[in-house]
Amino acid sequence: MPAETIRFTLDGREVAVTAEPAEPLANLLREACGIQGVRVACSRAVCGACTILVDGEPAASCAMFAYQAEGRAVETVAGLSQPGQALHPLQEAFARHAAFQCGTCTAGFLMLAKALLARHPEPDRATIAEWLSSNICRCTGYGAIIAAVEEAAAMMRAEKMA
Amino acid sequence: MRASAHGLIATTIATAPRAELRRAASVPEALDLLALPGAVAVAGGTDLCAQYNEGAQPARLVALDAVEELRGITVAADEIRIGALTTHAAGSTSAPLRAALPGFPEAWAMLANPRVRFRATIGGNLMARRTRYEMSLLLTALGAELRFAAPGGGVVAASAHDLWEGRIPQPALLHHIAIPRRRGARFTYQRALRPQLTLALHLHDAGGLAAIGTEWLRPVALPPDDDTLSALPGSFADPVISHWYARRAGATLLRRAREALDAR
Amino acid sequence: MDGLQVVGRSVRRTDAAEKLTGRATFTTDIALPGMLHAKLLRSPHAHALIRRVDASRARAAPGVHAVLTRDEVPPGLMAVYGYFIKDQPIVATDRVRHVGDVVAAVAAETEAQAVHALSLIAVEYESLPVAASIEAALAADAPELFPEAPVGVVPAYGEGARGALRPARNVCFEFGYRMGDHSAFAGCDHVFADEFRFSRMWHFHLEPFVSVAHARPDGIEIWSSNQNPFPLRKEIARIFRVPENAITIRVPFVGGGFGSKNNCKTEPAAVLLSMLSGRPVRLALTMEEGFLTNTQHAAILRLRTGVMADGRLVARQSEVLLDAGAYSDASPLVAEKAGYRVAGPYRWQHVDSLCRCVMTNTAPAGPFRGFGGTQANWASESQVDMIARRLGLDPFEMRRRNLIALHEPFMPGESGVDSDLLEGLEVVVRELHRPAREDGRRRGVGFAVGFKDGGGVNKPAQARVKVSTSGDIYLGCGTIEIGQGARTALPQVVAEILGAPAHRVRALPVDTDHTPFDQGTNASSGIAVMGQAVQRAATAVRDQVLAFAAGQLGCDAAELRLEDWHILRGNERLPLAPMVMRHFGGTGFEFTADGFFKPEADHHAPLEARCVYWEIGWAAAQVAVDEGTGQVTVEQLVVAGDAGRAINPLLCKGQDEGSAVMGFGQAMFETMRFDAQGNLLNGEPLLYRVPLAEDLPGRLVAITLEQGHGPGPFGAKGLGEGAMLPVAPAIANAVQDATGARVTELPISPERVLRALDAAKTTPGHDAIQPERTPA
Ligand SMILES: Cc1cc2nc3c(=O)[nH]c(=O)nc-3n(C[C@H](O)[C@H](O)[C@H](O)COP(=O)(O)OP(=O)(O)OC[C@H]3O[C@@H](n4cnc5c(N)ncnc54)[C@H](O)[C@@H]3O)c2cc1C
Repeated sequence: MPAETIRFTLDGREVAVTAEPAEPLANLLREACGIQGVRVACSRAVCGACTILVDGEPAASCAMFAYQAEGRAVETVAGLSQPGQALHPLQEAFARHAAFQCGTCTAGFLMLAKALLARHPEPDRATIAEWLSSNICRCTGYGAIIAAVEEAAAMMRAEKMA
Repeated sequence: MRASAHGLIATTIATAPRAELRRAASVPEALDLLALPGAVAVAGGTDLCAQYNEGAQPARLVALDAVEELRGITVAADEIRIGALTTHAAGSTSAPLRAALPGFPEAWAMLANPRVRFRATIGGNLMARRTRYEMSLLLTALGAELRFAAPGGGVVAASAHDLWEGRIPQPALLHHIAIPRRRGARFTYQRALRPQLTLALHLHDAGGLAAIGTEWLRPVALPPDDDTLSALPGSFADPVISHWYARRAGATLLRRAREALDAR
Repeated sequence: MDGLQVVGRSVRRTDAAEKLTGRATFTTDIALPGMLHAKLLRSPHAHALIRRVDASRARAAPGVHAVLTRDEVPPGLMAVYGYFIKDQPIVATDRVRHVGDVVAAVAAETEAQAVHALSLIAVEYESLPVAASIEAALAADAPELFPEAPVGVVPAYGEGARGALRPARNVCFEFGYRMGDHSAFAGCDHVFADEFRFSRMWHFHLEPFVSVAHARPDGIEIWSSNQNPFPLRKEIARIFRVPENAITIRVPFVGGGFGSKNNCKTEPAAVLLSMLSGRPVRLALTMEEGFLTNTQHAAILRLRTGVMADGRLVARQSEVLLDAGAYSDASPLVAEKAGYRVAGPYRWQHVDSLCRCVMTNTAPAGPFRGFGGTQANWASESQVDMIARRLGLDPFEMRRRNLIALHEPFMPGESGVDSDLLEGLEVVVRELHRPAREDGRRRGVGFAVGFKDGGGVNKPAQARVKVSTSGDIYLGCGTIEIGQGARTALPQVVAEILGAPAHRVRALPVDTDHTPFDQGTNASSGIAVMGQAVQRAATAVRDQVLAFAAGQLGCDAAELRLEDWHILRGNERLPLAPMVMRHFGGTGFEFTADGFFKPEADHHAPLEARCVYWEIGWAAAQVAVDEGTGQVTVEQLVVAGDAGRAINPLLCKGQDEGSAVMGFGQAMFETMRFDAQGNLLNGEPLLYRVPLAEDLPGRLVAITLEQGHGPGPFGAKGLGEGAMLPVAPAIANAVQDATGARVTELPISPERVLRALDAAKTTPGHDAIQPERTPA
C-alpha cells in the first residue's frame, strides 16, 4: 500500500506525515512523530495507556489507524506542557499526589483526565471514578489519581477565574 | 494469539502486514469493497484491534466513516431506527431515543467506559459477535431487527439470534437496527452482577420479553414472568457460573427488573 | 520534632517530570541501530512430545536474520534456567509442558516479518495426557512432566526447616518446618481441620516483558525490564558460558513487575538470537504472552489447628500445595515462604508445616507480591476467625489472646517481631465507620493481620555514594525504580545523612558494570536492606568529608557538622568547595564510599538467617451481602502497614493503597481460568478482570503506622506487600460476620457466597464444617 501524506494537527501544530494510512496510529505517533510518551501496553484498547485526544475525545491510539487522524486535532501528553515551562495543572497535581508509580499508564490517565475536565469542570467523585475506569493503573490503586484529578479541577477553575 | 496446529503466535495490529485502505463513500460502494478478498469493515476499530491480537490480518480495510447513511437515530411511528455507525456515546445520550424508549439509552450508557464509548459503535458491537458484548442481549429483549444493506439496494432483516447463527447476508454491511415501537414500552437492564450474569427486561402493554446472558454465553430470551427461569436451557453455564447459579441469581434479577419497571 | 530535615517528608518523586511529560525511558523505548525484532512460536498443546521441527522455510523468509529452534542451540550450552532447579529451556527440546511453551523464535527486520516467518515453521507434536491442576497432577495416573530429574539444589536450612527435591511424582520441591512436639495436639480441647483454596492471579504489569540484547564477540549487552539484573547476569553467564564481566545489563525504568520480572524471561532468547544474527535483537512480548509467562501460585491449603476451649492456639499442622505450573521458576522459594508463614503471627507450642510445589501443565508460576504469604494468610487468617466463631469467641479477642507480642520471636531462633500487632489491628478496626444504610442487605465486619518475613533471606546489598567538589551527590545502588519510588526515598536517606536538600542527590541509572552489587528489587527489601547499605555509604562519605575538613581546619571532626555542603563549626559556616579545591586542586575531587549490608547467617534461625524485619499489614472490611445473588459489596476497606519510620509518607501510602487494591482484586474477582486441558480461558485483559476505579470499595483508607521498631534507616521497615496480605481473609471474615456463611475459596464470587449462604442455612451454627475432636 503506497504511503500518503496524512495531515492533522498534533498538539496544536499542523503536521503532514508520510505514512501508510492503515498504519497503527500509536506507531505513527511514537515513531514518525517521536512521541515516546504514547505507550502501548495491552494493544487492544483495554488498558488505555496509549490514550490520546482526537478532537477532544479520548481514544486508544493502539486501536486506531493513521487515516483516522486525518484532519483531526490530535493531542498527546507531549503537548500538555512545554519543556522548561510550568507543568499543566494536571501534571502538577499528579506530581503532588504521587498519582503515578511505574509510569506506564500515566500519560493515558493525564489525557483522559484532560477530556473529563473539559466536559465536567466540576466533576463529582462518581463522575471521576466512571471516567477513570476507562483506563487501568495496576500500581496506585487509583486513590491518588482521583485525588489529583479533583485537585487539578479546582486549580483549573481558579485559573479560569483569575 | 494466532493459533495453528504448529503453534501460537502473538500478533497485534502492529505485527500485521499493512493492509490496503479503501474509503467507502456510499452504501453500494461499501458493499462492493467488502466483497473484495480479505476485506473488513472498520467502524470505531475498538474491537478490530482485538481481532488482530487473535490472529486476524485483513488485507483490506474498508473505512465506513464517510458513509453518512449509516449514521443517525430516527424515531418513526412504528419503529426506532439506529444507524450502525451510531456510537455508544451518541446513542446513550440521545434525547429522542430516551423519549421513545425509556430505559434503553440508560442501559446503553452502562456499556464499556467513557473512552471506548466515544468510538465504539452499535454496529461494531453486534458484528464483532462476541458473547462478552451486550448489545445483542439488549436487542434480544427488545425484539429488534438487524437490517443489512442488500446488494441491489434496500435492506435484508435478521434477528439478533440470526447473527449468532451466522444467518446474515454476505458481504455483511449492517445498515441500521430497527426496534419496533410498542405502546407502554419500558426497559431496564440489571447489570450489577456483571460479569457473572446480566438481564434485560422489556415490558409493554401487550407483554414483553426478558433476555439473560453472561460474558461467555449467547443471550437467551425468556418470558418476562418465568419466575424460576424454567425456560433457561440446561446448557446455560460457563467457566464462571453454574446453571444452578444462573437460575437462582437470574430469578432474583428478573424479579428486581420487574420491580424496577413497576416503580416507574 | 526529631530534627530530621528530609526523611519523613513527602518530597516530590524524582521521576515526576520525566514520567508526567512522557519523556521517561523504559526498555520498550530502547532502539539500537540495526536492531532486529523477535517473535516466538509457542506450543498450542499443554503437554506433548515434539516429533519434528522444520524451520527451513522460515529461514528463507524475507527479512529473517535468525531462526532459533532446538536445532540452533549451540552444542555444549546448558540452555535451561530456573532459580533452584534448572528446568526451563530457552526453546523446547523434546517436549512442551504448557500452552504457550516456547518452541521457536525468529529475529527479523520487522515484527511483521518475524510473525510471517514463524507461520512457516512446521512442528509435529504428539500429545500427552494433561495435568492442568494440583489434583490432576497428584493423581495416581497423572502424566509426569519431568520423567528425568533436572539439575537442582536445595538451599541450606537452619533449625527445624528442611527441603527436598522431587519428593513425589510431579512435585519438584518441598519445604518442611517443624517446631515443638506433635503430642501438643493431644492436650488440645479441640482440633479443627479446614481446607482453603487460593486462586491464581496474573501480575498485569503494564510494561510487557521486553529485552534488547546485543551479543558481540567481546561481550553481551542487555537492556531489560527486569527486577534483579545481578542474578540475571549470573544466569546468562552460566547459560552462555561467558564471564560475568563480559555481560552488561542495563535496566531503565521498569513499567511495573509485582514480582514477575525476576530472573530470565525474555533475555536468554534475545541473547541467543543476537548471537545467531550478529545484530541487536529486541524481544517484546504481548500482554497475552505475558499471561503465559509467569503467574501467581494457585494453592490448596489444609490446616489442622489445635486449640484450648478458651481460644488459646496450641498446635498447627499444615499442608500447602502450590500450583507451580510447568516450570519451577521461583516456586521452591515461594514454597519456603508459604510453608514458613502459614503458622501466622501467633504463639504456638507446635508447628508442623509442609509445602509442596506441584508441577502442572499450566503457565509457570513465580514470584508475586506477597510471595507465598498471600496464600498462607488467606488460610491462616480465615481459620483463626472460623475457630473463634466455633468457640463462641469474638474474633478480635481470639487474636488478642494469641498474637505474638512486640519483640517476641516468631519461631525459636528467629528475630523478634518488630511491630505491635495488636495495636495495628485496633487502629484499623477503630477506623471503620458504623454502616449507616439499611437496604435489606446483610452487613458485617471482618479483619485480619497480614504477616510475612520481609527483606528476603540472607540478602546482601551494596551501595555507593559520591559527592562532587560542588556538593552534588550521586547514589549508586541496584534497587530498580519499578514504581515504588526507590529513587526518591533512598536519595532522601542520603540527603538526610549528608545534611543536603533532597534535590541534590541523583540516583544513578542501573547497569551491572558500574552499579554496586544487589540481589534484586524484591521481598520489600529496598528500604530495609538496601536502605541500610545506602545509609552506611552515606555515613562513610559524611565521615570522610568531616575528617577532611577537620584536617583542613586543624580541629577534631567531632566538632564539625555538615549542612548543605558547608561545614558548621560553632557559629561558623564554611563553604566546602573552596576547601576541597585548596587541597585537591582546582579541578576538584569526589568523596566516595561504599556501604554494605547483609544479615548475619545463623544456623539457629530456621531459614539460615534471622529475618531482617517483619512486614505487616492489617485490614478491616465492612461488607454488604445481597442474599438474592450472593454479591458482596465491600463498603469500607481500611488497611494499615507499619513503615517503622516513613521515609516518604506519600510513597508509603501509595504502596499500601496499591497493595490493598491488588488484594481486593484477588478477594473479589481476579483469577486465571484454566480448563482441564490446560487452556487459559481468560488470558487477555478484557476477560481477565483487574480492579478499575469504579470497582473500589466505597471507602478505602490506607494508614501508614510508624511504630518505630524497624532495622532500616531511622527505624524504617519495608512496605509494599504487607497491605495485600490481610485483605481477602478480612473480607471473607466480614461475609461470615454478616451472614454466617463461610467462603473458603477465592475469589469470593457471588456463586460461592450464595452456596455458602445455603450451606449456612442448612447447618445452623457458624459454618458448615464440624470440629474434629481428638481423643484425649
Ligand atoms: C475496554 C473495552 C471495554 C468494553 N466494554 C464493553 C462492555 O462493557 N459492554 C459491551 O457491550 N461492549 C464492550 N466493549 C465492546 C465495544 O462495545 C465494541 O468494541 C464496540 O462496540 C465495537 O464497535 P467499533 O465501532 O469499534 O467496531 P470495530 O472494531 O470497528 O468493528 C468490530 C467488527 O464489526 C465489524 N463491523 C463494524 N461495523 C460494521 C458494519 N456496519 N457492518 C458490518 N460489519 C461491521 C468490523 O468489521 C469488525 O469485525 C468494550 C470494548 C473495550 C475496548
